[in-house]
Amino acid sequence: MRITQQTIFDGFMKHINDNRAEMHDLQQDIASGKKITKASDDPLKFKRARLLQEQIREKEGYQDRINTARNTLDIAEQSLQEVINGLIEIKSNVTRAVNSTHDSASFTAIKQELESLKEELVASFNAKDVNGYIFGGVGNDTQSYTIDPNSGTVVSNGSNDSLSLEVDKDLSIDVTQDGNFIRTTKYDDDLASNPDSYRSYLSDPVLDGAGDPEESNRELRTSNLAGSLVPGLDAIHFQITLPDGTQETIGVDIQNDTTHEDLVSVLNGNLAPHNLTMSYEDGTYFVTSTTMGESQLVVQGFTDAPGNFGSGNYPAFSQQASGVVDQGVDLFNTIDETIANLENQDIDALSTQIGQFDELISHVTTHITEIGLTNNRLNFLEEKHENSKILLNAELSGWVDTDYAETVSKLQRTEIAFQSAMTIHTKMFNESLINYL
Amino acid sequence: MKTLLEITKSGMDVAQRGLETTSNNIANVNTEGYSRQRLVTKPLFARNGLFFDGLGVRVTDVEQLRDFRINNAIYRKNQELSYLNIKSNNYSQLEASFITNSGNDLDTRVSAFLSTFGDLAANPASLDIRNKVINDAEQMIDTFNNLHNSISDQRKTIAEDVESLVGIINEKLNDIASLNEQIKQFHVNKRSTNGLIDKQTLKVNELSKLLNLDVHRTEEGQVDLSIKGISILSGTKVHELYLSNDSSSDLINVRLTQGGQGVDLDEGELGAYIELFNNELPELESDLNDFTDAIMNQVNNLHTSGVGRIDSTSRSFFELESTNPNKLIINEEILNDVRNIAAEDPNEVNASGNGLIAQQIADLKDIEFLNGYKPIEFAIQFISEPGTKLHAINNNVELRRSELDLLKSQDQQVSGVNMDEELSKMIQYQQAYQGAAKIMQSAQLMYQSLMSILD
Repeated sequence: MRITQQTIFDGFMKHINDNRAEMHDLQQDIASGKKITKASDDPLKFKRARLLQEQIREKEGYQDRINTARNTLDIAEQSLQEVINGLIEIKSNVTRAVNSTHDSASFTAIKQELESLKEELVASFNAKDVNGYIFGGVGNDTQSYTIDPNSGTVVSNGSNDSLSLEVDKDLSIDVTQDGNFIRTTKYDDDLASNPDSYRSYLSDPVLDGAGDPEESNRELRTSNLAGSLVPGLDAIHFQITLPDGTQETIGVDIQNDTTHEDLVSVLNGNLAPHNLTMSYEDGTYFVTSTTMGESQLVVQGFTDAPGNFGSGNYPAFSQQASGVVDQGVDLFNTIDETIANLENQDIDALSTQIGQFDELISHVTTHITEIGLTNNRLNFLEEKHENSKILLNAELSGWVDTDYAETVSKLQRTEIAFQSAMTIHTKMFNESLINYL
Repeated sequence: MKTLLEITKSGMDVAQRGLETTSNNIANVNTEGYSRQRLVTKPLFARNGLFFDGLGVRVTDVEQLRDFRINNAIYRKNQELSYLNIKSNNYSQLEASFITNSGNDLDTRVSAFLSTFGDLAANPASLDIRNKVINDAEQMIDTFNNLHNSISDQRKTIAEDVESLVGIINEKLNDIASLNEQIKQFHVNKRSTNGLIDKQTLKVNELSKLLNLDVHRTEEGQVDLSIKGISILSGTKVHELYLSNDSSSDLINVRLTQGGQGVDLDEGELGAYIELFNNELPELESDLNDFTDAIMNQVNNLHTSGVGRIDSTSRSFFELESTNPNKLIINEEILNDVRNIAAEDPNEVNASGNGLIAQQIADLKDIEFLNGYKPIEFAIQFISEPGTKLHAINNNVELRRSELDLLKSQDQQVSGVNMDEELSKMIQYQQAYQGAAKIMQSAQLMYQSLMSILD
């Protein structure tokens, strides 16, 4: 093989350039602390790193929201603590009224005291965070509770819904408080413990003499409601007793192609004004009330006009009604009643109300405990996000950060190669026949 | 006696020519494109009865040591390597504008924009967060616009480069044609074409970096050049290239000046530029437009179904600028009053002031609405595109460079000047000259001896 000076020079330059390029890359890695800064360094690692950064940002977003939620819940807790203090104060005033000398001056003084405490309670329930009033439902920027200047009663301006914050993937928690929840003590507790309490079932068949379901009832429920299957069935009539005790009658005509779903859809239109909704699930109709009253919800269905139990009029459904739901103790109504009782100097009524205040205090305390539990849950979630962030950051660092020990050792190796190339080149270039001529 | 002097003289002449050749080789040791030369000599004879008597030596040629097969292989590698180098340079520039050191790139901007809607869902009434939504939207739009500008600026630069490149190619074609002409004349006149061939090879070598060439060499030493069967130089006849402006398609077309035939360029600098300009950059631009449209449509679909805090009017969040259909702008009404940002779902009658629409916009992050990609994934994929291409190109560049280095080394083995070798030749020719001179001296002494007899 013929090796010319140019071949030696080209080889030398190639290796020197390669070495310099490698030293440049290593120096960049050391100076920036990152071995992957752009996609061309390593496309897969770069994309992976960016996705990790996005996941870290997501966790930080959740942490921010958890902080917002905690702030709101702290304000709620503080306000409810004030409410409890107010209720204790009211209770002790009522107790004093019951046990004191019963002169009208002291009743008036206590009444005035209660009126001022009622205003303080309204103020406590009008607590705000950055987003608005927290006891008024969702994002409300009008006061949750106001005192009607004419009647003196407390009016709720908020909604029943709470503002939910996403604090983890597919996990939201309610941070603002449903106004009614606080105001009416038992209403939602009962709903929570017994969701069927104001649902009426329309499934149980009426039995005939032989203990079998009545033929028309059986056919109606197992059919797809095609008129031809039930002789003479061209309408269903509902007689409903609403929770407030009023009665409503609703009739729906059935066509040849009417299905259960059609029936439910039409009936829902008629039921909506009464805060009732109907659903059909596997041969069972449900009617649910979204408002409460002291009467039980009763729904009866007939194949002819209600009350007309002549020939051919069969009960389409029997009904299984709920129990009566306790409406509970309304905080402001109770205070108003107490004020009225003080005005009337009704000692007996006042005595019975002491128990109601205990019930209210216990309810609010329970709610504070629930807020505390939510706060604990948020703390746990925040810690979980923090741990995830640490792991993600560690993984990210593994992908993109410079391993100094490895890089420095590589740099030393490259430096030695560079210096050797220089030395050998100088030596080789000096070796020539010229030296011997 | 006379013959002896003639023979000696021819030996001295050849040694002198040999020294001249060696001297020329050493002088051109670093000249680019120079191929070493060697003296080709032949002994002279004369018939003398039944024998041939030696009559000295004669130079028959000064040959150039060159392997055209290696040259052709180098041309092909040049085309591939310069094609990759242009792609590498352009994608490096694009990557620098797509991925910044700060990390505030398209993925971060889109993520920030959508996340702020999540914050708005948590605080629908907050004017600060509403202002932040606008701020983040503007930053995201700026990033979209910067990316658009980077791609279109790159295309503009390429268009200018291509124009000057076509000029350079035509100039080189004419230079080679003129060298072809000179080589032809030298050949006819039996003069050495070595220097001209060196120049011609150098020019073809330069040209091979610019476009895909097929090189054919004639017996006389002329080169004919063609691109995929279409001749651009035949002997002294040049078919110049020109850029045909097709304003409707916004594409670069290279054609022959005579006849207007289109040429298919897919290698060399010009090939790389044309591929970038006609295909690869428009594809990037189209991906970016698809992304912009998808973000706009998804956000607008949700935003129009929600309501702001002043009225129940349905509003788009984004609009397209009337003068530039690829440029996003924020709805003027929203810019004028941030309360017009729709965070609330009006269908949730029991939850007035809710942030459900804002949450749905924030949740777009998890929806695969871009060919199976979630928006942030798509943004990362998009900004990585130049770098991913660059990574693959750089690997190829390394490979091609090694191949080219090997070919150059092979070329050096044949054509390169070796100083030690030339200096040895120098001593060889020097001694041959001195030997011939010594014989001449002896001949002179012999002649003088003969003359002294006569005295």
